[in-house]
Amino acid sequence: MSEGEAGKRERCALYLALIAPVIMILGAPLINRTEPYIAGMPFIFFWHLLWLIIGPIFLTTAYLIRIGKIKV
Amino acid sequence: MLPPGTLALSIIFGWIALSTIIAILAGILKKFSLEEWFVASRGLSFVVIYFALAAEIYSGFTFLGLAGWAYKFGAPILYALAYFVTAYSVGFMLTPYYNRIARKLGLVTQPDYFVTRYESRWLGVLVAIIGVIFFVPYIQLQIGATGIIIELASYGAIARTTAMIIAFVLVALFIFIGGIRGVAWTNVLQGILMWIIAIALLSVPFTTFGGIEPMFRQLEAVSPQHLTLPGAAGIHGIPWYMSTLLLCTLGFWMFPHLVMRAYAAKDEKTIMRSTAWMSWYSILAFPIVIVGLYAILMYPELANPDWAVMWTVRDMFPAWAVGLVGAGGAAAAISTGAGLIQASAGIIARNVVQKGFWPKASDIQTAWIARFLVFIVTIVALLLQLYAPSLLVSLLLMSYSGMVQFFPGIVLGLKTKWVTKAGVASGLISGVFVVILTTYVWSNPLQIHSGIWGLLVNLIVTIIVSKITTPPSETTIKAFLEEAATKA
Repeated sequence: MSEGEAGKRERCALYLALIAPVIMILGAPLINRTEPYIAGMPFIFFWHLLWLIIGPIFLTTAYLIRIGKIKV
Repeated sequence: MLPPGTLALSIIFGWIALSTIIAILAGILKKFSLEEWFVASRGLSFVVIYFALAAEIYSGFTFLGLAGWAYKFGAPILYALAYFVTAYSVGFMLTPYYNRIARKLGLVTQPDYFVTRYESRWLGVLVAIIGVIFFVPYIQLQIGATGIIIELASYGAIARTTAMIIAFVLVALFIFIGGIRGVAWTNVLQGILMWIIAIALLSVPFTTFGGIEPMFRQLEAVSPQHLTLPGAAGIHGIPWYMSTLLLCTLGFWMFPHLVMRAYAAKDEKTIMRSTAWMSWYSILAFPIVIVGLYAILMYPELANPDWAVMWTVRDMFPAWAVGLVGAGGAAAAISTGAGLIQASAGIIARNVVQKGFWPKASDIQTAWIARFLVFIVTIVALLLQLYAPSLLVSLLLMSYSGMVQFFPGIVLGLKTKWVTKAGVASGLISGVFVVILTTYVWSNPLQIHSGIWGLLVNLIVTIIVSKITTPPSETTIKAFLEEAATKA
């Protein structure tokens, strides 16, 4: 395996891992609302529940890319 | 039929006893050495390191504090759920480096990183002292949480003080013998219990209100300010949320005990895998926040917001379940406390004694000093909790802000050649100073968290001072930067 390929994998994993922090921090001004209710909860609560699920999906994917289980 | 308190208590103390036995067994089956006691001979497998991290991260605060905060302030607590997601991204990036560098250069504590990277044992002493000062309030918090849980779960049969003393004497004993391995194994037990409890708690709003939405609608009628920022107190606005989230995201993997766990993983893939999978764990904090909001409707007059979870459980579930939840909560507080105590004792022994005032101490002597310091740290934290419980609350306010000040030294050390020990030391000191100012004199100016102000000043000072002083030797820089570079 060439150094370049490993570097590409690491970069992809890094970008994927950065999505959650960047969106969650910078998105804060947009999500401070109760309407609409989704899944029975005010929007801001739903938003956090949503990220509690998709954040780990991104990170697990990043891990699989980094170790080469998912090809990029 | 036993009185409900007795049943709950037998479960809690049965649990603690079982943990102690497992920890002791885990410890005595291995030969005692510095590397074994501090970092489990760098051999912890994925399953063990995973549960060890989980149980240390999800603490007495997760159990009582999250719900307590939700009860008191409402939506601002969502910052905690957010950083339970974002912090793992940072962990995913940093921990493989920690693991790799520690293995190559023989680091066993977080201040060791500074000692080796900046070739200065006195910088290590400074980092160790700052770390431990911000650590003791956390230990104290865990002891206090254990006391509350046992007192409420026993329906008042055991006084808080007795509970705290018994629980933490056992804890000190098992760390003494088992070191990090003992801590890790007890945490496996706790991890499983926490999942069961989180799922059970989710049923509460359904039983009482027939669903989540009716509960939120009713809350909107009673106290709408609980449902958005800036929350019920009106002081946690959007700038506060953003800066606090940034602070926790960056500060999380600076905590000495977590750095030491990254060293203990058997290889870098294992620790990376743990942080990635750990992020799934965070979802269990959600039901706890919901229970905090639920308690606003059900018990509007709680004297102490931290009681929200235990009151709800006592009302909604039979006594054996109270025992189980109490055991889970106590285990959460105890396991985090144990990890913190082990790390503090280790850091004092290694960085203040061996690398500071008594350089002649051998590794095995240092490990023995660390063992005995476990008792001293435990006793100091217990005494502070008993006699001055409010004294350290003020320090706790600054814990995260203090820890994040290690960020420039660690990250610049991985990525740049020009950073120097004088730069890091002066940045660290000025950062902590600014944190104190922006906590007590001007509290969170512009609603931006004190830790971020400190970090900003810290970064500027670190860069300026580094540029005018001489960096450490080429060999050291090369060793670190090479390890931080891409590996196939």
